[in-house]
Amino acid sequence: MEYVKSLIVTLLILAALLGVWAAGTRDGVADTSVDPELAALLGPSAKGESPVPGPEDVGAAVWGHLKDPFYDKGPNDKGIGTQLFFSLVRVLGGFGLAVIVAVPLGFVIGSSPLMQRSLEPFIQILKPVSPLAWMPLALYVIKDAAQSSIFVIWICSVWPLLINTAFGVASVRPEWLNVARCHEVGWLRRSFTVVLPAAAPTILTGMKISIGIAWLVIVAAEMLVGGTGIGYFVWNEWNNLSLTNVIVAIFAIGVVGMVLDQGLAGLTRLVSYEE
Amino acid sequence: MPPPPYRRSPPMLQAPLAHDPRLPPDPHPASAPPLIEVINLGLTYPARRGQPPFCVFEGLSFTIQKGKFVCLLGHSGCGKTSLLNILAGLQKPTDGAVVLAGKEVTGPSLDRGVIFQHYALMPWRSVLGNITFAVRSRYPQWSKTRGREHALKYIELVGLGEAANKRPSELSGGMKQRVGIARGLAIEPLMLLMDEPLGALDALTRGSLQDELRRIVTETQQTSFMITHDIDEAILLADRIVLMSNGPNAVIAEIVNNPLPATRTREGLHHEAMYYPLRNHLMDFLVARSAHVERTTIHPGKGRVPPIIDVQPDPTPSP
Amino acid sequence: MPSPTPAFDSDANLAHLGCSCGKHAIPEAHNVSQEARLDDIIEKSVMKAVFPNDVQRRRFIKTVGASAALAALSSVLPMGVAKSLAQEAMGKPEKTDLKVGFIPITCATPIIMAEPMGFYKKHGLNVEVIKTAGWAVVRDKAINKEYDAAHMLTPMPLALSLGAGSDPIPFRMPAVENINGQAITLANKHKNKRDPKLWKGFKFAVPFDYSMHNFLLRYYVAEHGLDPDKDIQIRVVPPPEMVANLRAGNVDGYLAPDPFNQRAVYDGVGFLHLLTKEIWDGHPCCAFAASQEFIDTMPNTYMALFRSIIDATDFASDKSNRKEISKAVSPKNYLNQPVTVLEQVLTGTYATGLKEQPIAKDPERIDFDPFPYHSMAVWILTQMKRWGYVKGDLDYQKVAEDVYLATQAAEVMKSMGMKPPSTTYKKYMVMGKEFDPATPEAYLNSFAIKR
Repeated sequence: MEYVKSLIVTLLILAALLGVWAAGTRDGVADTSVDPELAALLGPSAKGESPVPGPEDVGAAVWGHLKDPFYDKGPNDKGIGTQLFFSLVRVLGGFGLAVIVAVPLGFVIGSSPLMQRSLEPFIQILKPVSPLAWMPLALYVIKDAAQSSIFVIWICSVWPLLINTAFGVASVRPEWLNVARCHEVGWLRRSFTVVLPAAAPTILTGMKISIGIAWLVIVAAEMLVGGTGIGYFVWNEWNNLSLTNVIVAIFAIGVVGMVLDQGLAGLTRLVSYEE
Repeated sequence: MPPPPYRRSPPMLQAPLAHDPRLPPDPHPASAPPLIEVINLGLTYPARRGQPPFCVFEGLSFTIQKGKFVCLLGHSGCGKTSLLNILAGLQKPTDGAVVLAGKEVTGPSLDRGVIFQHYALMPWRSVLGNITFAVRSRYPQWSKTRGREHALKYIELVGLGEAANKRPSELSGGMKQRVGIARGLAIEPLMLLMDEPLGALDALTRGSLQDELRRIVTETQQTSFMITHDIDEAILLADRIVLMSNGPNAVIAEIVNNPLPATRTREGLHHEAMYYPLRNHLMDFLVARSAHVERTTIHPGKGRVPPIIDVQPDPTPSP
Repeated sequence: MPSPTPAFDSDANLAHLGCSCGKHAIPEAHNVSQEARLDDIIEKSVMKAVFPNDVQRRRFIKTVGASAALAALSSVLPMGVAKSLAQEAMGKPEKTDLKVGFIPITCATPIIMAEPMGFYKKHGLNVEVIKTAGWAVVRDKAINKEYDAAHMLTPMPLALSLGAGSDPIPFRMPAVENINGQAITLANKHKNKRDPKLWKGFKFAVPFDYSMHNFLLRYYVAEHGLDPDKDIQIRVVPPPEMVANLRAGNVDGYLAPDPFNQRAVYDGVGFLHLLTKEIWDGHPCCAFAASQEFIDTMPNTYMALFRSIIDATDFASDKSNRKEISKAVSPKNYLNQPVTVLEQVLTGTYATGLKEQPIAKDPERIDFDPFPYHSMAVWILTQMKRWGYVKGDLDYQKVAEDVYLATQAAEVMKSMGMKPPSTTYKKYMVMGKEFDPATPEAYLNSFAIKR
């Protein structure tokens, strides 16, 4: 029942938002006195239409994109599905590499207070750097735009993962480690059967944060570098001042971001435990 | 992991101990040396930040024979848990040594099963998973099925057959500690070490688990060392009770033989003739004497050899 | 390969557009006939060499027939080898799959339209034109060799070669894309401030530091007595963001490439204050550029690309083709702009956004002329030095001649039947002030406002 109630409220809020949106973007009265020759040279918003599209425009555009999400009309014009796919591949690539690096390194940091103290200054300085600030350096050093954006994803995903893994490993209950010691469990087996499962919920929380950041960053990175991806799609539509398509892209980005987040939340539930 | 290299204790430590006339009379002379020997054990934390060095305990010496159940009774802060950790190999003493079955203890090993006060179960594993983790460590060469059967045997032994596939979070405290006990026993250790295993449980549960423990150790003849501050628990379970004075600089004040018959039960305890004399003796120690134990007899190198006490029946029977 | 744009069918349109030499209905015919003609010439020359005497030769051919005579000659002379050698001199491209970067502005029209209209294919290349987000990225991707060649602003190869704003990397500019075609756009609220003297405190946007836009805006306001570094603010804004910034009031105006000037009018955000052709009629703007390394390692590919660009630029310069071009470059894959906007820019019949003269007609609003005059480079260098982008002594002519490949362009144009100018230096009038490329330092010193 609670669920139904909250659903009704959600729908009401949605309806109200759409109503405000529709009212706010209602077209003004068209100026009929304009010379037809001039009128042909001007765009709709110069003739009194609202420059911001209404919900019905966006709805139509969403339907248009959904009908053919994977079209390919040359290197600079591909369907929104294809663009999302490109972005996802980059995000998952950079994120995957970050997992490969950060989880073992976080293990080392978390299990050695010495390493924790010695690496702390590096992590603290590098962590707050905006990922996009790396872009010019990456482009210059890596000399490849696609790899550079993967690098940027990597470097922004790596910190939450590293910090969470180290924290998770460092806060494994000492009694579990004592149990392992009392059973003469070797380093490798201890890592995989005690430390990893004990730290898994924390590590996965780090992953959830990371992939959220990565998804935010890819859009900005692709807007900067262009080529392919949902960020490029936004940029290309901005280039045409097509707010309708920009709004469509915003929805698409939001939906994919939510799916990524929910996916990892599901994984977290899978490995989390109750004490 | 290879077994720790065999190292004999220095002769100076052993020789006088073996011939000291004040040593407790050995029930199995020559033919059966003690399973565990604690020799002049001391733990002192070094000075730091202007604080003087802190001595937790010093000169602890006692032995445990195979098949016996020994309880350590003492107030909080006398270093009971530290002693147990040293026996388990989880902590290093600053002085003295522990010799188990002729080998000096240098670290934790599967020779000793440890039961922790707060269970230390892995919450992401089921009951069965927690036990098989131990079994696989002890018998890595065993097949999965064999390990599982072995684990289930011990789960049955502690009466948790129904809950084998439950997670620890679904169990009550008592059930959790049953799992802890099953895990300790499943590796079939030479020695079972228990750190106030029932201390966190409510009185009812504690009672039933005491019965259970009594039954199991009698059945399995498991050599055990247990820390407790519950006098009745010690009387029910222990063959011998080691009394520790208050810290710091704690010492073993005396070792008390349990005069109650092996057939004793928890319900019938207070009907046993020797129950009250023993209880009074122990209570008297904890309440009055534990703070004023004489410390003059610590011999460098062999520690304080505590007197073995046999409690005498009361001249006038208790009401 | 079918054309990727449904709006424009390259093959069908080219059929009636004809080829570059004008003698053939379709470019393929032009190609075939060129090859055939080459064969023909070789055969004739061999005949001529064997029978130097005209009369003798004619008699011989008449008696045995031309083909029989050739066959007889072929048996003693390796005619096939001679023919293939001659073909080689034309150059087989080392690589045919190329990537060329562009910024989606009308200046890039020849580079872009060469794809949908088949100019690259005509010269044996399979070029992908890749839309790029900004000039810095175009520069970096060109440096990284992700692009084989790129659309740049005419000052960029100079800056790159001098190492201004990046490490010095030898870049060459074989061809200019467009001349004129930029404008100063102001926000609607400034309709009563048409006199630049009233612009004190204005914020202006330009697309890049090393751009004609920046140098022309600086020149323009300085001529009106404003110091571009003190009296106004100039910031770099990527062209697509300009209209949005103008609408939001973040900038008061911009000197920018089209379609973003016309787009501001189209969206009712601003008006066209001035076309840049009023500042300097015939100024260069965008260019086609490649690294020296690409030119050295793939000379034939480079030449084929060069020819395609010259060919396309030449085609774009014909005003009767402009409507067609507008359609070809308008899809999302290219400029992604309404055709109306592009048509207004390219045909020069456009809405100004002003009440007093709502529609203006100026066919010269933008033009396309590939020839990279050295004097253009010298002018740009004087401005780079004037505003402190380069410091110290500068050998204007040497840099200009190193980077702007005017001589080569002249040869290629000639070989394609065009008439390149006979000189690579000429004088310009910029806002009524004469620029003589022979005396750049004196020109520089004649300005009151400089760094």
